[in-house]
Amino acid sequence: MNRTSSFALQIAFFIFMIFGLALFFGAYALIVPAVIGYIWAALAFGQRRIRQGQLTLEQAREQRVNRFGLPDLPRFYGFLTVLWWIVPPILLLVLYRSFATPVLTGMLERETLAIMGKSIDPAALHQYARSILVTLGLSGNGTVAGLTEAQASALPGLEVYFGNQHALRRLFWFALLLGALAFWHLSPERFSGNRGRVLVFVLALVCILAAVLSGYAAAAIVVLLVLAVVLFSQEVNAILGRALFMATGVAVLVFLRDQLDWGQGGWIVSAIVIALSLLVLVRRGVRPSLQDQSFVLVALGAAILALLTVITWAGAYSWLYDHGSQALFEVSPGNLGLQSQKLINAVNDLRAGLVLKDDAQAEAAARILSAQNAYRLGYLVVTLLGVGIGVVGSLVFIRPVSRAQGRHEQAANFGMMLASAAAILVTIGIVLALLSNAELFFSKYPIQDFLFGLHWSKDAPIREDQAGGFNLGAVPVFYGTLVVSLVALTVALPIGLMSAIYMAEYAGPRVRGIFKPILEILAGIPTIVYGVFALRSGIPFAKDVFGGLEWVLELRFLPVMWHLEYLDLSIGAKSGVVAGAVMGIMLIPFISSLSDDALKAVPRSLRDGSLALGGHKSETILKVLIPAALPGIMGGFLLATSRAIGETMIVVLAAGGQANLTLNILDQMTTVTVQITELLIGDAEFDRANTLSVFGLGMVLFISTLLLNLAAIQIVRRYRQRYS
Amino acid sequence: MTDPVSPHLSVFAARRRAARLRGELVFRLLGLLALGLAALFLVSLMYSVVKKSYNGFVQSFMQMDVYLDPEILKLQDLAHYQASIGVPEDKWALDIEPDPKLAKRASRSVQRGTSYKKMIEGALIDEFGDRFVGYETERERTKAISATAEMFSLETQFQIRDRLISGEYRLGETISLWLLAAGDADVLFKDMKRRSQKNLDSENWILLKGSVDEQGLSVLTTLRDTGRTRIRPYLGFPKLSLFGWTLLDPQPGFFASASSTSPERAGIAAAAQGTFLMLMVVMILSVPIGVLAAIYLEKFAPRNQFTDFMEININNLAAVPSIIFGILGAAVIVQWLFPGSRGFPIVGGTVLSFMTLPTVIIASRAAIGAVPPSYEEAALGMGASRQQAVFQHVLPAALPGIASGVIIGLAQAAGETAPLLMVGMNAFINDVCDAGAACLMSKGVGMPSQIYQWAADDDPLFQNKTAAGIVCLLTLVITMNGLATYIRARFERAN
Repeated sequence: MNRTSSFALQIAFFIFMIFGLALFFGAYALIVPAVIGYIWAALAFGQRRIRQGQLTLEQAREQRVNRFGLPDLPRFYGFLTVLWWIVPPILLLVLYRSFATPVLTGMLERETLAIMGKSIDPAALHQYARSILVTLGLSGNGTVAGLTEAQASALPGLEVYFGNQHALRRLFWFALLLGALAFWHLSPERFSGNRGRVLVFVLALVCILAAVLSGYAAAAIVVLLVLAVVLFSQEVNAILGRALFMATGVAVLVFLRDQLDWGQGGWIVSAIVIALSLLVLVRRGVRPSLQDQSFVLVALGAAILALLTVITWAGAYSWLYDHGSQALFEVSPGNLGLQSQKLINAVNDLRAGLVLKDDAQAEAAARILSAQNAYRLGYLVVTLLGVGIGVVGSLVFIRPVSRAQGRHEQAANFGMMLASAAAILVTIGIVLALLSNAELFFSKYPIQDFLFGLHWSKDAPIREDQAGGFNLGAVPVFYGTLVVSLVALTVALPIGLMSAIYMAEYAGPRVRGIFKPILEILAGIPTIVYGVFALRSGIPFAKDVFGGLEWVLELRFLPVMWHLEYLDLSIGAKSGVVAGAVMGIMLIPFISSLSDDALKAVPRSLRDGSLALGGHKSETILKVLIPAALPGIMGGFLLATSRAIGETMIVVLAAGGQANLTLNILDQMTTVTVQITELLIGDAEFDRANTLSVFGLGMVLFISTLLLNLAAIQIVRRYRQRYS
Repeated sequence: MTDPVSPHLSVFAARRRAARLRGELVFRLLGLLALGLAALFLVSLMYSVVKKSYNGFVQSFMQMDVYLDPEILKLQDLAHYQASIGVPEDKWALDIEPDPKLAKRASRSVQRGTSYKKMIEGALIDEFGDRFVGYETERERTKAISATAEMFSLETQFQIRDRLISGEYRLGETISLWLLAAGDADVLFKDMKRRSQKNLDSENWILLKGSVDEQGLSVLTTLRDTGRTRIRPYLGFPKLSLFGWTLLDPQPGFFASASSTSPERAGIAAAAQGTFLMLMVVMILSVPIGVLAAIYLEKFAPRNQFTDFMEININNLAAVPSIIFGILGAAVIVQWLFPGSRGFPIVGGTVLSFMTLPTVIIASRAAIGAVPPSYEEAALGMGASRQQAVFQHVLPAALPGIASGVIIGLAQAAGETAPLLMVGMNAFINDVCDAGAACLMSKGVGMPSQIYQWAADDDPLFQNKTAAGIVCLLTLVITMNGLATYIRARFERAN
């Protein structure tokens, strides 16, 4: 591909970026500078090449490059194609406007007359009727309540009107779908030659049809322009194909966005479109080729500036309403949110040309409307400026000798660095959220009382002036956490370790084929399922088992057993040991896979040495492999501990919420996670010490898991270094 | 072969050898035992869930002949209401001139639920009126009949109303209907079926005593004894519409309804929608960020203390308890940044994507690291830049591995409960959101938190619904994990 046509393609893609942004944010103003920028850039680029003597006029004529720097086509051919693109959509537009619109509008006018009892500006009719239908909750399924008679009588007519609109839209759906399907077969070859032109023609027609009929005439014009570029530049590469595809995707999404009643269908379609465009991107390579990188820079410059202006606009827009409703609130006090909603309705009514009854509303609405208009103008100017600066600024950097690729890669590198920083941001967020609130908590409740206090009852005092309704000594909570985790590890460690050993050392392919999926499924089961299992099956089971052990208590033949009467074997609705045991089941696959990794990392020579000396397999495992793999297994054990401490759903459902400092592990126990959940569930207000204690508990939880994780990571790392 | 015990061995040596062999066998058996225990746990878990879930998917129905009494709901009211909502004229209950004045009043009387309950009460009186004897006052008798009528689910009233409006049933007809039983009656029938006994034992008595009296109970048992009850799957499917056309008419059932206070009407649809929305958010947020970070850390990051720190940080983040992420969401997003966003799926999804991010990064790094260096070297040798080599050659080769990591991360996110509870996604949602993307910003519930809600309820039918919900969640999660395993297996074979 020669540099000029590549440049044209780059610019085409750049236009597409802006076009997509413009459509998505409804900022049509962006389209104009995009077009102007394109023409200017093409002109400047071609002329510069000639001026700089890279290209003499003779050469240009030889290479069939015109003074725009674009490959030259016979002029007649160009005109013909442009005509081809322009005529059908304009015809369609004219047909639609001249036939369908008056009929429908007439109908709408009649119906609105029936509702309002007066006629309003025809241009605002559609919007107004739609808002009526939406307010009445009638656009979807027809349940009505509280209609005035006139409204009720007009409703069927309105339904017909919108039914027709929907019928039209359904047509475009199919056109769009067809287009999307066609784009599926994108490849550079398909767009070359006459056959390619026909294909492009069909695709573009679909695009334009969709754009025009759904009211995006401006979009149609942009598509036209790009297509003209396609034809002028003689060759279309994959980028442009992708760009077309993306544009269709954007058009479809915008279209969906505008459908108030898009239901699940819209979701399905947008999911398909997103998936398809991702697939195409992936299959055709993630990145544009070498020559295309300068345009990415231009597009980036313009897009960032455009985005900034759009965001500020959106922010100011909502400010506008807040401001207006504040004003309205001053005139007639009441609920601010309600006032704001009223105001939006009032502004819409005012724009629809209605006379408002409420003077206060009318005044506020008029103020907002004028501010809105002024703001729109300002928005246009700002956007134009922003895009202009972006385009010009970026274009300045593009020269035949400029190193677009290097700069582009720098930008990509920066983007990747930002992405990696996201993980750090999350950590910082956690630490800050915990620290700042924990500080607040400890200012209300002394830290030593929290960490070493022996009594935990978190319920708030009933009256404000009641002192000390709650005790926040967290030792019972920590104790419960430890006990439950210990029980879990006692269950999980032997079973997990032994199953890992058996799978790695003894199991043949058949046994492995059976048990590997079992462990994987166990690992994938969500904790809530284990929790429900513990609550609904584990506790009844434990009740039976320990109930069956009651006779032990009757034994009295040894002096030790005289004290058995103090032992209580009954299990209530919740039990720490059951929660711990089920948590142990959950940890089995975790420990198993980590020990498996550790065992596999032991060098073959150690094992062979032991076997050669006559050791049995079990002896090799116990005396050589496990000692050698011990750090790895320890690391896994620590990680499992940290998981057990932080596990929530099992203990919430099965361990109970009552803080008991008891040795009887069959009793209810509470853990840090249970307390956090109980305190934060429901609408928590972070102003009382008992709610704030969540952050104290969270802090302890975070620090202890952090230490365990760090230790585990360090151990595993050292261990790996030892054997590699 | 000769006898393996060498004659040169002393007795002690032989004994020791036997002990060693025994030890070997015991060790091996212990290993097998461990695996067997793991399998046993899985089987018992699955068994308990699946067994209980059966009664969550099926519901009892009772057959009644209901007289659609025009005295209770006036023909005229129905017709006016039908006219006002645009039912075709030939379906109207009465040939009337549509009058908007009457439509409003008609709407009120058609919407009233008690009318339809009265029809069911009427059916009970017609058939079993002679059973309801021995009351001191007429008021007590009416109360008892009304309580018995409440053994029919609220859903039946809606059913009769909707079919009357659509013109499928006509007022004045007597129709024979299979009516959905309310939770208590449903449990009773299922229990009777399980024990295959005709009489009630004390346990069932206690269950129903609060709601119906002896007479009402005898009506229910008569229905059951005369074969007029049946237990059928009550699955249904949600409304699926495409391009404004409804593809399939929605059917009421477990997959179609949201949660409800009456267990027989509770369904998983709203929760499934919430989970789907959250997974979308997770995919949009954590996949691009995670994959880019993985590429950077694996291929471009300079080896220095900062990248070491990043690596440790990511590994640690992967092991931070999920509830901490929940606190982050509750304190930073809900409380501080966007007040009022409590319970929105977009918030839940964001918190879940914080949690999934390290998983995605670690899996993607492993996949990228597993691509043979020759790919990159060949590209570099041909003059590609490093970024080109990585993005155009290494990344496509690592894609299956990345995909499997992403799917595992998504499966994890789908099953995570604690963060959802923290950000308030455990609200009682009794309506499936119908607003498309706007559902992201309205209070929602996820499948795990829905299960949590139901699990806390001691009603036996709610427990069955819990199990049914778990079956749905497990199907989703295990399918996703299976898919990931399959992709990874193919990937490993390809390399």
